[in-house]
Amino acid sequence: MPTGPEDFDHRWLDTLTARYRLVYDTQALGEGIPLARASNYITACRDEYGAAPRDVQVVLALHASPMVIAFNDAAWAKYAFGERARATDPRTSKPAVRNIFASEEPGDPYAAVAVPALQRQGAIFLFCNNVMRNLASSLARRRKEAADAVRADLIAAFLPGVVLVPAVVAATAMAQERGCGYTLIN
Amino acid sequence: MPEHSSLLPRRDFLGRVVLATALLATPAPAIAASFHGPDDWDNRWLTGLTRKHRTFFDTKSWGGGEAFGYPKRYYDAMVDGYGAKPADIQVVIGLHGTAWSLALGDAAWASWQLGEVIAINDPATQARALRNVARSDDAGEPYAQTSVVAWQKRGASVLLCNNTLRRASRELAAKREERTADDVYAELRAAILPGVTLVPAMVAASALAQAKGASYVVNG
Repeated sequence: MPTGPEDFDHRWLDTLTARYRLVYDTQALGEGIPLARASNYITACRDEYGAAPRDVQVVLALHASPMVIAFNDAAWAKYAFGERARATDPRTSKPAVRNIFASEEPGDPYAAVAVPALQRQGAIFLFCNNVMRNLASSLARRRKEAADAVRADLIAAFLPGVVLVPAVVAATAMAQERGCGYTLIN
Repeated sequence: MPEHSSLLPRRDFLGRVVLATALLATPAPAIAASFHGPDDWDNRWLTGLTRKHRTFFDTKSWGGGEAFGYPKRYYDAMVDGYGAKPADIQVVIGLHGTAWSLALGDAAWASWQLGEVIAINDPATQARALRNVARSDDAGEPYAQTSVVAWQKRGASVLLCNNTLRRASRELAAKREERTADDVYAELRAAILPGVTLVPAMVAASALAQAKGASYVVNG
């Protein structure tokens, strides 16, 4: 369990150097709203305001319902994140047992704005440690497993590049200290 | 109807308020002086916004305690997760929306049954609060560590929106025939907790805080 600043990877803060940088406080998942908004911001800066791709940077601070975006397919299947997020897989018309928000496969609903697609455009995905603590505890109770073990399993199931932060509320503030704009998605 | 279109409770409760308080009504205090310009406001919360890590919490509702609890998670994470010194952290909590009554003292809560207004129970009675349960940091108080007083001891500023207070005064006065919006406003203004700062408009205060380098977080 993290016990101090040294237990977290803060390097994402040092990468916040693009001319146009924005942090999204993402509290609602909707129909992939956080991903669509991030893509809209990047596209608008680039295509409508003439920014070079390297000059645009977006941070998605995940807590509340959007947290499921951060996990790989195995975790979606194991922990029934599709049911939790009420995310239906168009292939099966049933609750998704894979992360449809991370799939770039043609025909998938979020292919154009999927997590890897946004990461290639400079997006940074953060996950709240307070949310992790509560999620691990609740899943552990339901599965009759140890919370620490579930927590470790969940962190190992992060999509590549997802960063665990002490608290989203502090991370969004720190991002603003580094010059980011702030937008709430709720 | 928008969620925050009214700052008062529904009619069924208001009927009881009118009946219950008609006999308790005290003579209206004198109408307080109106604000006319920048010189009438205390802007020290803004000029003193200089610490390294300063964040403004735009707080529109009680949120089951999140009004003062969410900033505590910020504070704790800054210390424990980012290694900040407490002396370098500065929190501003801007109360408006339905959170306005959190800035008032116990007498106003009892007189106007403000616990019913924003649906806060007093853990001591398990009924709607007749006092501001978020005021005191005394041991045993339900929100001691996230109370107004606890925040002030950490160097935080707690702000109250004057537009919101004006609107609340109008709505409360409309339910008591013997009262006017101005005298209710004067009463409520006199009931603002020590150290809480009345600002002209929260929308402007939040913008000015950001202009002074504060981060901004929507809370509720």
